[in-house]
Amino acid sequence: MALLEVQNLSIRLERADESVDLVRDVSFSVGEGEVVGVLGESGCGKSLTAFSVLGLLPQGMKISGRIAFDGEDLLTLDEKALCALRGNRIGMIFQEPMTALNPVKTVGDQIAEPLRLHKRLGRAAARSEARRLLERIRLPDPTAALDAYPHQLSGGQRQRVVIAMALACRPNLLIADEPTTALDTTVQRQILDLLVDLVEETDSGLLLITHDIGIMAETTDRVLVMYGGAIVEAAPTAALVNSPAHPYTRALLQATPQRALGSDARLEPIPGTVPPPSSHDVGCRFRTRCTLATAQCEKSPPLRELGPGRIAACWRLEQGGGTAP
Amino acid sequence: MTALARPSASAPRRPRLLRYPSLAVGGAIATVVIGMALLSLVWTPYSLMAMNMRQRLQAPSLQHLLGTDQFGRDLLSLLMIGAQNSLAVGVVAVVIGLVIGTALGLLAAARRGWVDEVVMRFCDFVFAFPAVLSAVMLAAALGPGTGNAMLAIGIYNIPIFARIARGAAKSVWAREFVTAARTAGKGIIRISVEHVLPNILNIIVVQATISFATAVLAEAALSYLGLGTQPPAPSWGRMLHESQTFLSRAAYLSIIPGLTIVVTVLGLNLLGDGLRDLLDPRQSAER
Amino acid sequence: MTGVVPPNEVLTVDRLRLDYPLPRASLFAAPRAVRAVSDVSFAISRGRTLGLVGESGCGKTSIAKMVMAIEKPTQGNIRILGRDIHRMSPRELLGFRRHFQMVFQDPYGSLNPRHTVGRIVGEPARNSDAETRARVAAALEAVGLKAGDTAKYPHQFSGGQRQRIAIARALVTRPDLVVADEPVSALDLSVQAQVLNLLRDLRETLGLTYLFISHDLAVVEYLCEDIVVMFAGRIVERGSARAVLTAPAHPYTAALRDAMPRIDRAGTRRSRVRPAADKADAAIAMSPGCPYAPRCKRAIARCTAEMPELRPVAPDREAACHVA
Repeated sequence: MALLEVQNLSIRLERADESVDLVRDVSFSVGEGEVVGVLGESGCGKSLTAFSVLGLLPQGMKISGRIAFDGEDLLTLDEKALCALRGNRIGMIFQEPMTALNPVKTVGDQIAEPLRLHKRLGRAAARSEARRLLERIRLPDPTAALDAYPHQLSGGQRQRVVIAMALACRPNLLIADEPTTALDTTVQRQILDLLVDLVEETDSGLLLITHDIGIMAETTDRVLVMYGGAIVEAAPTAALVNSPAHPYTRALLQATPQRALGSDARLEPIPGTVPPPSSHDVGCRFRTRCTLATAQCEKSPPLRELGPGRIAACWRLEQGGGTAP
Repeated sequence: MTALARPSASAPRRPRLLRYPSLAVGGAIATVVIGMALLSLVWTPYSLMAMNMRQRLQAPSLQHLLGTDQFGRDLLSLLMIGAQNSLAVGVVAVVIGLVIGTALGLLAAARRGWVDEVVMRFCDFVFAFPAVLSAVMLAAALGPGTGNAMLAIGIYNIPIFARIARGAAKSVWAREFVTAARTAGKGIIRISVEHVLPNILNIIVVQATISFATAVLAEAALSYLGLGTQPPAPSWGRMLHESQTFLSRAAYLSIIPGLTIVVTVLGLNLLGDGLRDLLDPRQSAER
Repeated sequence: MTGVVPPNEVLTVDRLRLDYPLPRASLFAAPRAVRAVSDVSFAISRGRTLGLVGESGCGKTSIAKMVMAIEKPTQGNIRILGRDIHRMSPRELLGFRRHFQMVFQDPYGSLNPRHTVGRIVGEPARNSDAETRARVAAALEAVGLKAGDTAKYPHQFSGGQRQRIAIARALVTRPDLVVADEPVSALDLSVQAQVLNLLRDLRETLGLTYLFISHDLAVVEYLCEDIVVMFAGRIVERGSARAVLTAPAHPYTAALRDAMPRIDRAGTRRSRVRPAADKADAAIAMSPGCPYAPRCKRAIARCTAEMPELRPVAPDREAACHVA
């Protein structure tokens, strides 16, 4: 049984005059020791999906479906039960390290917080465990860092502290929402390596949300590609990058500047822009920008299995697939 | 999350008054008071000069809806004409404060350096005095009268607007489109007028409404002390003062003007709150 | 140095230095300053694109501000089309600004939400006569938008379209130099390529010269012929972009390149041996030596004692390193 099993998750924003489907019928799973990536651009619903696991959606959203963590449906739990899980068995890392840390509390206090809350450790025990964690995240001079304030650390160091907080109680599942986007490139590399090392050490599952294809390629075992609130393709990472099936995935790979590295080739941009979410559109959301679109695409294509662990939602899959240039 | 952070162009933006109770109630009260004042320009139940000593100190009745004062004048008429006065002083005082204060604030934010320091010290200086006391001192120095009351309250409002305008203007100066305007070759004055001012108007308008409420209150205080509008022009504050002698005989003579002042100021404050909720969502408690 | 600038050189930056004053430690202590930019010199010839690369704190944004004359250098000079922009009178400068324009990073913040597109794009022209209106229309069409869009407001456009508006604004005075500060970093991937291609095309059709600032090496390689790599306010390597990025001479450039997550390493998570990363969080040296020394894998004793100078390490390439 997978650690996290999401089935038919749909999130709908109800406004006074119209309601909008922000996430449509998303299903995936994360196993122990597995790194699953969710790739997509802004507005595709990937962050919402991540937040919904921990029940952190803003007001006014209607959720349907099933989110099973270790067999238990998280959507049926009340706030108290969810609190017991958050920071304890499920850890979360957000994008902005500065706002994720309380500026008026020391680093040591903040790391100790989940330990004291969930593991009922006393002050001294929590402090020494926090120090151990600081060592593990390779922060220079861990003892001094315990009493430091967030503003005294660099961006990369703060993000490590956030990781330490998320891992303090040795969660089974870690969710990271764009954990390195706000960081410098060289620091990014270190944080990603650290994250992957820790996950491997503890055999926890990692759900990594990102828009960066390079990070996706290097860090994940499996990728879910989201567009317009739905999963358009899912595959093991190498397979996705080397032989993408869905036109959106292919177009995305062709539009990445890395593709043109070392050559004089021209990038192939994806024409048009991401359409705003709406509940009236019953066709494939990508059809307005797809070079393979036909009249058939007015009706939303179902997800089809293409092979072991590979699914894609497209009517033109026979024309798709193959190695990306 | 982008779908939530930036409502699409198709999202309707009709503000529903009922969603902002402060705005609704405050707006209603303000409308009534303004209506009274405007109406009194052309008509009042009784003339201001209609003194009827046989009808003096009558409690509210069908003839005189709110009763009569010690000279037999109809209280309702007095209140309506008094409203003219309070509102006029409020408007002029706020305009003085707004125009001069906003200009100073914009200047301080644009020039920074010593200009900023001078403006801020001036504000500090004025703020060192308790609000109404400043107005009282100024009015005492300038002499009693409506005009001087406007001036006194107006001068006190200048640093209030200057501070608010300066703070808001500074944050607009930090925004990238202002840097873009600088690189486009726009000078400081043009940038202040074309880019900064329109983006701080919301906050200024809200402050204007709130200052209006305090100005009305300040005018009442000044009139109470005899420094504001002089007789025979009626003024709520002075009515309050003069009714003190008759407190045992005709309590309504104190209560009604007093209540009028309270309700008007409250209404204007609510209006300011409601406007702030509507125009300045960042500060709104709803979010 | 007030040497004559070659006629083909659009931007000449000469020994630029910028110090930021820090608050005094106490009333009697000497004033302190942080050196944001040290001894930076480079030049861009007409029609070329120079990429300025580095991470946060390297000084590239300060350089952009100084080139755009919104910040004054502590030392050194900046000449555009041969004229020193920091020695001009304010009035001269205002008039001269039409020769150099800027595209900003944030497509949402760099456009005044209360102005129409027409007004925004026309701003550098400083008047609104018929000729300006014609130029605005032409600029909008050059970036792939419609002349009729002048009456619309920024919020009616997507991020990528707004960035096009920002580019149109930079083009309306037919500048000689365009400074682009991370123009695609805030855009979605599918839109980035659109804007990058647009910048490339405009360069060809309008003969523009770009100073392109970015942290993304792949983007820089795509758009720039030449590159300058900065660290802690100094230039550590410079040369042809392709050459520098394929075979970096300076250890920092190598670290930057290796840090870039690569698509062609897909699925290698478990098998990949992670190279010993340099200590990216280590403090920047305050010693007289190379500022990169504390983080550098290849540092030797000389590195902490002596500041390396920029010297040629290959034809057409320079690096400031003792071990390159």
